[in-house]
Amino acid sequence: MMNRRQALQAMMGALGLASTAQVFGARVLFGDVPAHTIRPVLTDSEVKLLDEVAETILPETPDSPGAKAAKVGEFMQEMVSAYYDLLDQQIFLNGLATFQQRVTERYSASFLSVSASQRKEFLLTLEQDSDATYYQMIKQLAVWGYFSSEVGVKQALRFAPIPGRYDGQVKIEPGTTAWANIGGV
Amino acid sequence: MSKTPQSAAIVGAGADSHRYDAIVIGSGISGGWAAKELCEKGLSTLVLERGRDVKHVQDYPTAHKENWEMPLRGEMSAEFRRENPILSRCYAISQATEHFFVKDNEHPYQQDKPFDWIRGYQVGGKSLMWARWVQRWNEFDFESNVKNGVGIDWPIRYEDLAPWYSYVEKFAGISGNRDGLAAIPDGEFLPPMEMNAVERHFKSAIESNFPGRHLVISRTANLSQAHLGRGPCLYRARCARGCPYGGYFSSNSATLPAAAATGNLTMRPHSVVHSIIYDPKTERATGVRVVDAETLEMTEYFARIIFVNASTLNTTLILKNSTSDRFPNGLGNDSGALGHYLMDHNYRASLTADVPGMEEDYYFGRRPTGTYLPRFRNIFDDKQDYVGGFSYSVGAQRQVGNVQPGDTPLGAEFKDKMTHVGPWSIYMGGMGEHLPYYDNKVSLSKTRTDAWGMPLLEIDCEYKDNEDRMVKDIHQSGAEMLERAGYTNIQPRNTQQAPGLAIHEMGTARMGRDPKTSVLNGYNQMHAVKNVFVTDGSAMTSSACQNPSLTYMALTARAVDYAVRELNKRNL
Repeated sequence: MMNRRQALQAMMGALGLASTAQVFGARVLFGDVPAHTIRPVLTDSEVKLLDEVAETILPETPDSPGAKAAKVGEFMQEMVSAYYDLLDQQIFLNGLATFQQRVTERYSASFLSVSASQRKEFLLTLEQDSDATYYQMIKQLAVWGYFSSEVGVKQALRFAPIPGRYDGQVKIEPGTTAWANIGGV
Repeated sequence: MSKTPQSAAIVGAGADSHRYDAIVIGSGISGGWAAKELCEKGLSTLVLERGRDVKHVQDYPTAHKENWEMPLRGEMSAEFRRENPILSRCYAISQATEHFFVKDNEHPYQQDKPFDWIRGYQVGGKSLMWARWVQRWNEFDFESNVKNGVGIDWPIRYEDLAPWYSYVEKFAGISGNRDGLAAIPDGEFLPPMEMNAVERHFKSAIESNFPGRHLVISRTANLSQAHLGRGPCLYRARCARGCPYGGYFSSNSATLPAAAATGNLTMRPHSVVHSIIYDPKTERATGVRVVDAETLEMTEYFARIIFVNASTLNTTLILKNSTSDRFPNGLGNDSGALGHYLMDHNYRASLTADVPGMEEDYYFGRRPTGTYLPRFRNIFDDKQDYVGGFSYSVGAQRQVGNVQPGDTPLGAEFKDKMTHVGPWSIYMGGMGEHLPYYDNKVSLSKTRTDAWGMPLLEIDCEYKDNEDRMVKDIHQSGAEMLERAGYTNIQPRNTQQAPGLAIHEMGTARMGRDPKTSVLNGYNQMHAVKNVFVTDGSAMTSSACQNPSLTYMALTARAVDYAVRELNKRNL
């Protein structure tokens, strides 16, 4: 399976991090401090919003379905409710409110009612905002959720449930699609 | 069959039904071997396992589950992590494996200093989830204590164990390459798995720049070809869930079926061994007292020889709890060594680096092992300012996703690049020796007991200055090799983890020549109680730096061979 470390690793590029070491050992978001969690913590409309945010990050393309088809909003509901500790939950929920507030301030409309290019424009603003931890959390979850989903593994990446052999001498061209890392320990 | 004293509760026909030639306590990696060897030599053998039964294949419920079919994509919940802070630190815990691990509150213990005790209570024990790396010890390892003035000397040498390494390797099925290195003697190998391009590059960089240092594919108990009706490995890398193809060695897939095939095996799960019964007249153990894990009823079983393979700390607990007028401090504990000299490997130091280029090189399949950089410190002629050695586990991989700084961070192009094969990175994990210190110890609580009426274990263990110095060298030596290979962004890391988390706890009933300083002799036989043998990690006199299970297997097979010869000579 894609575990936490692999998910973080897969997102290094997404977060503009140059090395594995920046995420290995960094308590970025996935905390070591356990705390009580309640489920579910997101409303249906928040799940719908997150689906659209994730779709903006990972849209449907001719090659593969997008985040919505992979039900990334539902995935975020599950992870924020039961995987996040209380501290991360609070950061996420407060951040989601801030997110909606900032959209409204900028466009006098909700994220769901602005155009696709405005959605993208808004998220690009958050990409530049190093204080927007909540956005980094949403983006991590979007990438993790998509590339560990059945849609992401089978349609965006290459899926080899039973490889049957190990070949350590494969030659590839630039831009080759990666094999989904679906092993476990 | 010799007459043994009977329990007050079990007499006559009842006692006969509780009588076997041999009893094995524990069904993990060493207990499974004891059971197989004893059964194959014709002894009726009772295996007592404190946990539930786990049948090969049919009791591997997650073996075919994809991560989207499991809760939280396989991760453990915040609630679970809160309730299981110890277990949650284990690298192998996930929704796919958690049913094989003891939860923190299921079996509490006292930590006088932080110690992460990771346990698997079921038929097969931790052999289901083990990491399967099986480098042999070398000639030097068995001499290192005496040469360094550490602890006591091993009562055996490499040549005593070498044929038994071969013996267990031939049955277990070990993939590996014959590398001809003195630090990790070659064994009986199935074909090796391949190294990938970066690993081959690193091997060449190390071997051409650092005489005496090598990088090889790890010898691993995964079957690179079908072997004795098991396997082959299908390169799914889902081993710790239990392999439905029998692609790796476990008690469940290999030794216990072989034992059962003889018709001599009786397996009794849910059997918590309370203590070993000692008869002062014969100076022998006569049997064991067992608490049924479910009903809490106590019963007794009798045998002519007893193998204790309950895993290091539970073996120690049982022996310490086996008190009598003759042995007030625990069975066979004339020396006072029982419970002392606890070791775990020193796994705190690791490094990562980025590997530039090699973009045309990739791999296929999920190899269930990595590469191994054998010990080069304090071995043969090398001398450092600390004692003992370390090796590295090394692995290189390519990231999933090839988004570079400056690329659009979201949208169609981003998504496309996230599907591409990304840059290489490399990992080096130090695996260091932990010296045997008298004050690293376990004892039994005088006031608290567990759910089965056993005293709680109190664990008092730490890494000391020697291990801290080794961490520095692991970082320095690792960095110099990565740098020489041309890798960048070299990042050392110290997890600061407590002992226990390497899951190589050992040493608390050590072997030695002198009954005044050790519990067991050179055949893992109790100096003071000749029909009791201890062949799990507790027997270890030093820890070296290899993953230890193969050595436990070899010691076990050798001890059974000796025990049965002694039995046939009527010495037991």
